Amino acid sequence: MSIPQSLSRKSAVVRVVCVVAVAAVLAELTISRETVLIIAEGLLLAGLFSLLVLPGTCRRAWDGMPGPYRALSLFLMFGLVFGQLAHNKRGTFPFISFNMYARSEAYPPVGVIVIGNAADGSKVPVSPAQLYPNLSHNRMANFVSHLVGRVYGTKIEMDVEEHEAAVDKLGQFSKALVRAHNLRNPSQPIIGVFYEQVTYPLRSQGPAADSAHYLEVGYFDSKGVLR
Amino acid sequence: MNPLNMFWSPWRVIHEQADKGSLAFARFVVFGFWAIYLTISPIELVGELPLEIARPVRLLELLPHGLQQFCFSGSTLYVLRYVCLGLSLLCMFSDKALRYTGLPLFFALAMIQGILRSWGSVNHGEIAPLLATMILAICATDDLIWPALKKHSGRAFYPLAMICGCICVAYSFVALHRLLDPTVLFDDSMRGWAIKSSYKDNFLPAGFGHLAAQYESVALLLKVGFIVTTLFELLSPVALFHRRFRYVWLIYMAGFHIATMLFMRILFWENMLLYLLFFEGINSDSLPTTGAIWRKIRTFGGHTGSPDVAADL
Repeated sequence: MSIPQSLSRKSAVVRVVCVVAVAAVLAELTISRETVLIIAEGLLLAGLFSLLVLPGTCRRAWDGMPGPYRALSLFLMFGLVFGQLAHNKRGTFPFISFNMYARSEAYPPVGVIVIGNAADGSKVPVSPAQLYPNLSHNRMANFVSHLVGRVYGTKIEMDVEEHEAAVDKLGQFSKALVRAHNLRNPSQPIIGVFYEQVTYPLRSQGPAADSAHYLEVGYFDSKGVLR
Repeated sequence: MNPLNMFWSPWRVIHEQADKGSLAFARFVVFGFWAIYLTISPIELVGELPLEIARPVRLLELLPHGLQQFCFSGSTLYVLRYVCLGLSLLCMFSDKALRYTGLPLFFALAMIQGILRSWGSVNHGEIAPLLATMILAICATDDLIWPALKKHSGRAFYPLAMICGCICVAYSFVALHRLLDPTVLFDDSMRGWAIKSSYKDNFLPAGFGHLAAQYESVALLLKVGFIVTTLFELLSPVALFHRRFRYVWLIYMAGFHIATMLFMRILFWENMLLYLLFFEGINSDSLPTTGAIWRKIRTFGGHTGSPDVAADL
């Protein structure tokens, strides 16, 4: 059966219009890289869950599952996917995104160390992680790096007010750190803390710390004032 | 005999034949974890840190400032820590305790974890036990929502499968997210992380990660390990259905966590403890009940205990 010419023309026009419309909508939306990544990740997660329900044994278990358990399973699945795609761990806690060690960082790593200043001018090691052991798993180290990075880093663009707020936060933290250190180490009291940024080499002949680059970035006294 | 048959075993959902004892064992492990965690973690110390520098998680951010101050204070956290410790100890041994205190305990533990994550990065350290606690607490009260569930044969199977499922799916998420930028697997990122972690301020002893800067072989070992681990993480859900793969997966993942501790000074003992839930057939028959413990305490005080106390314990 032959298709009437007018109809095939019409369908060709419809196709062209559709393609143009979709392109226009996409251009209007100007899809960002983040959106594309979220869509790609969403498709991967959909694929994962599709594979999970493929085995007959899993489908049978699902079919036999009573309503409340099924609702709980769906809630968990929704929470896990939502947390993963939202990429906002503070916003979706306790459903967080599992995105650790996924961004290329193939450059010399930078760390922050804290050094206490004793009254006689000697330097005393200060370990925020040991002062607050419950903030374990690098949480405290990341927190210190974040605060110092906001004040002295070059990666974050901020105006004067934001910078002052960041300095104030680091000052308050330094004050708390000095107090906690003196409380737990009464024999080695300190009157302030230095922050040092350390850049470690990716390749070295000897221990990396020996050929690291140390940069003293700031000193806060026991009242949290930047000196 | 086909050598491939060695690896073949019928596909069956994990814990399909779980009974009440298996569920009690899971309860013992999950709440045992919280009991250990709360004993060794002086969470009240964060009360010393000024609230102004905290970045609370959204649920805590929604609280009015006064209530936030109350929740973040050292004395509140101290009380919360010991109340949760007591309840966790009770829930370890008693189904009844879990039924009546499970959900409030979950909310309290979620609050503690939220508060701790107000300083530093929101990481996944205690997330698996937290979700396991939620599942156990909700499932312990299931017959209140639906009385017909009281005699359902799958009452032990579903919660256990859900806990194991959450753990496996989370591992897969890690790998899938990494696949969006696979260059991370092949460049020098792993070397950099190992070096940085070695020198990072941490309460764990110094590891071997810094050797990656000095020795190419160590860096190569870490890189290969990273790729293989990502593969195992990706395949994690298979462990839910295939018994033999599950044991290979458990051995590899346990080794991976130990290697992470040695090279990156990151220890996920929470997840390692929960691996116990992947072994089928372990049940709580040999675990003491709260009743038996109480009778034992009474006999120490000079009271006459029932003759079968020893048998109970």
